[in-house]
Amino acid sequence: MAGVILGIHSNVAGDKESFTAGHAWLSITSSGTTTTYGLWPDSHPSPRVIDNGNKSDIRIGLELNSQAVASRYYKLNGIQASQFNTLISKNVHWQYTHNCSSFATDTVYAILKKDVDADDYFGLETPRELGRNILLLEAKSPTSITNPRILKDNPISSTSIS
Amino acid sequence: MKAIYIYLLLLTLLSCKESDMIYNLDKVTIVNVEQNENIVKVSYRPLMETLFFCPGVLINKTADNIEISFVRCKIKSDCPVTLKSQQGEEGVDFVSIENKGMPVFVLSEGSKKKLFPK
Repeated sequence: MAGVILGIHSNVAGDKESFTAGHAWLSITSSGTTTTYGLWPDSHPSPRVIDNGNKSDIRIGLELNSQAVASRYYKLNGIQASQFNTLISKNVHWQYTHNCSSFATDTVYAILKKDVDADDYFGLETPRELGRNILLLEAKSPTSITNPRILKDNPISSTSIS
Repeated sequence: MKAIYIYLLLLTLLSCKESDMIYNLDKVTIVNVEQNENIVKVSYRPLMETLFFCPGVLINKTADNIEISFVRCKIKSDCPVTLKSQQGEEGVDFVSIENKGMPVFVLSEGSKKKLFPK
């Protein structure tokens, strides 16, 4: 399918996983090329996560070879794709209360007004809860990278990540 | 007060059982196992985790074989390993273990899988 496809992913799903397990991220596929976007703390010791100081914690491409257990795909129109680029170019910082799952779900909501819920205990967003809800949504209306969800009303929102 | 509550909550949530500190087999993808003379090179891709990482493996040598476990370590922690992971390409890490041709198994909680010979 031509166009820009937004993916939201988690590599864990459900309560069998621990509260702090896993990772969540976004992907953009355009003209057959997929790019991933994930929020990682500077303190992560992986040599693939570079401590870039006060610059944005949104890292590009780290998840390309990662296997998601839950993924959902949305087709973006030109305005939404542009909005995505604006959002991911912001200086976003990782915190326990604004983590990889918060980044993924907030970005999807800001662009599409679709709540792919990640709220776990005490309102903290987690990959396992995001994964669980992605699977629930997929059970109702399956998507794939070649069959993304197309929103009828194509809502346009503000360019802030709450 | 709220900050203290959140801090205590996070401390509780982040404290893991010891069994959580070894990756289950379904969380590590074995990409390749290659024997070259006395060394077996195990290439693997651990689950990507925001709050954990795999610094390497623990090795238990018995009379008959070699057992390895993939260590799951909290970020900002220092976890002991027998062999540190080395970074390969495309998200793949590897360890090179001197096995002198002995069978190599990977262990995790309640399970054991033969890596070499296949």
